[in-house]
Amino acid sequence: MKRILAILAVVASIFAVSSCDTAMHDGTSMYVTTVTISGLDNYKAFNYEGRTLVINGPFNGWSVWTTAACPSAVVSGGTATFTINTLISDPEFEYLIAPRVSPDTGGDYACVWDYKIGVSVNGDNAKVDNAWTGPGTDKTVTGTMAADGTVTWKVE
Amino acid sequence: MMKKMLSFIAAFLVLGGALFADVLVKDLGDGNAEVTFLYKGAGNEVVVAGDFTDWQNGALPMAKTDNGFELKKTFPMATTLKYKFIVDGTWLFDAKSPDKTDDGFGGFNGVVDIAKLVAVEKAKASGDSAALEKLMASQSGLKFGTFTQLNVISNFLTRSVQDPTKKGFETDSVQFKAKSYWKLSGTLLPDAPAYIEIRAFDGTKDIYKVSPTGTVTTKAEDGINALATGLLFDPFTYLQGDRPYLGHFKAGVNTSYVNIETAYNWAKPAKRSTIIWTTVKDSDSNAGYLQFTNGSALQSFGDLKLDVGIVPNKTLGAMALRSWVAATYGDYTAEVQWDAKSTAADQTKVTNFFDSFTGDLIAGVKGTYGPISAAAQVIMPAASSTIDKAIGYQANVTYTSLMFGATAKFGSFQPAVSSLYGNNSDDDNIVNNQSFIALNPWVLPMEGFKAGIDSKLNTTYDLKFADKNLINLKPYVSLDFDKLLGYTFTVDAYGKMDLDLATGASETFKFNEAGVKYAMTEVSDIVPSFDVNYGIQMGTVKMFNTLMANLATKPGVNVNLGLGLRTTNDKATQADKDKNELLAFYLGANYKVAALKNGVFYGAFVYNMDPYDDDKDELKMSGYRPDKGIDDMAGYAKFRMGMKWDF
Repeated sequence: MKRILAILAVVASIFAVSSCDTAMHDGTSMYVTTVTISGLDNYKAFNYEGRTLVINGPFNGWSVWTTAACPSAVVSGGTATFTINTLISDPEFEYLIAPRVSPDTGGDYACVWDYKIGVSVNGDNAKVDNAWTGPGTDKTVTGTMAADGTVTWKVE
Repeated sequence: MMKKMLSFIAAFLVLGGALFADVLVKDLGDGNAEVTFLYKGAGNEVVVAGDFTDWQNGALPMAKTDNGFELKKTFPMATTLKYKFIVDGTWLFDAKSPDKTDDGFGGFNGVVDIAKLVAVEKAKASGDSAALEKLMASQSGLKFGTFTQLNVISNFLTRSVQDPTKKGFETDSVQFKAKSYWKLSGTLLPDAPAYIEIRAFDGTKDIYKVSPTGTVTTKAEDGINALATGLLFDPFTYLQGDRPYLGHFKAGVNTSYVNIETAYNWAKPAKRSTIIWTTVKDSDSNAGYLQFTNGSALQSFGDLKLDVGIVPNKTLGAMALRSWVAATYGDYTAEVQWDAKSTAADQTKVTNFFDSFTGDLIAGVKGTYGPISAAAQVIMPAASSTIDKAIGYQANVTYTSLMFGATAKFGSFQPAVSSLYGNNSDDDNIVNNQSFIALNPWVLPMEGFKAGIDSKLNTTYDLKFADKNLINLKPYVSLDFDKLLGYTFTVDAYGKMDLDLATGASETFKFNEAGVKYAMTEVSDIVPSFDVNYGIQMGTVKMFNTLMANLATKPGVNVNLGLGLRTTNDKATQADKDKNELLAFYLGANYKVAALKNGVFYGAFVYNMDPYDDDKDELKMSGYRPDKGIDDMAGYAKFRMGMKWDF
């Protein structure tokens, strides 16, 4: 066991010190003010109307799905808008939206994973490319859900 | 004496009959044993997938016999196997397996402890009742299992964060990733089954980290210091970021007339796929339940077998119920399932439950008559307040002979149709607002050569072909040169393509994917198996070619290596071309260390692609290509080393 741990430590150290340059980490940012999902009423397999949705992702440190930690929005007329106001420095802006079960429930149990809204129902998290427009330009991310539950996202 | 004799008879009946009915073991006398797997149900193509086959990746086909399907394989005596059958593409737990363990998906894997089975056979042969009683006692009680994984991962950028034309190789982070789930399954007391899963820890710690803007957010010195401090003085809290917590929990009691099971929060319900659809999926979303099913005295009445259940539960925070009655007589089964979820504003009063609810009613039958098996299922919304005339249905018919066979399917689902607890998205399940016709013929002109085509026409629920007329085609061929010419290798190939015949379709023919697999067994004394997989994936603007080889060696070292090439087509924009990473490759190996409780030591370097599953040593495949998107890991590389225990 000692030998294996020593190997792991040595290999990790070698790779850590092999390249300490940061020239390729040249990201700037994109300032996202809101994320809006519409067309939720197109999808008949689940009734989103009136339900509270929450949004989470690396931008939020993948915080636990609690009311306090995640921006939330109530679906009205098939649309929900989340206020983000966050600088995104990663090549992609990644996020996941899902219905909250109940305000009383905290932690990982707060959301209904079966009905999360990503690139598709039951699919992966949503991602859009970083537009690298800098901190002074407000950008919004919008998505429309089709009847089959898939969502097309764009940065505007 | 009488008591001992009775217990011996009971032990003999239980162990020799029910428990070991469908897995036989034979001591070969050289430290190995021959294990025979038997499957006696319906099906055309049956394979055994287990931890000894890298599950689906190296699943072993079973030979058809007069009594069903059979596979013989030799293992070292001190081996414990986990396995399932895959019958015509459907995973099945072998209900007659000698033992079972949780499969992590709400169901079970069969377990074969070879040494124990051999000991039982010997005790039976010698009439050693004391040994047999001891072996039987070891079958009860809670058994410990775990999935534990410790990883050191170095992450790299292979192109700049902002300027995709700038390529290179630069450290992004070094992480320590660890997860450990502890499972206790079995019986608390006789007839009191329980399953307890504890999340001991599951977390990732940065040892070194650079932000996308170039700031070193975790210095190596600080990261190593924090890691050493955390692991030495309080590893659980450090890795978990919190205390270990109870994940899945189920417990119950079985009586002659009723079996009761209660489950806490994320405990997955048992999956139901009795007729065609998955009508209860093993989902995490149910916030606890209390389940009543018929006990052993009410399960069989001669040739008639009954399966009855009623399960009050919480679904989406609301009072809910799922219930079913299924009856099987010989090769015929009928089932009715009723599901409901309360929509009452006040969810604190049980008396509100029937005031207003939504749900569904599902009914179906299936049967086998000679070479023909057929199944039909129907679903209707069943809400308290409105009567919706929406309906969904599907019928499947399969004909099987020695030389050819075919499956025909027809399904139609109106927009308002969906299953409360079932699977509403995958193939052979409810997909609302559509109809489909599928035909899957195959031929076996000679032993060792099989060819066929899976075809499916998708259209709207009301058969408006002009609006939607998409045909999925998957031709395939399978050659076993051992049976054809006596050479120990197989070649399998398939393609996937779409024909879009709807009015105004932008692209009539679309080629999606193809794969070829060459697999050799008994290559040499030290190489028991070797395979090469070629796959091609077509995206909107990109194509990804992959060549992946896997080599197993007798000393126990397994090696994977592969190459990928991404190219863009004429639809690609300059931005697509700039972001395209042409070359991708990986090299990985693993080795089971018997001295460390059979932990598997592994390492891999992946560059612009990562075909491995969740930083483990197992490849995640779809057909003969990585089960990842074309652009997965483009622009990134990883080196990881770790150990895992999975038993």
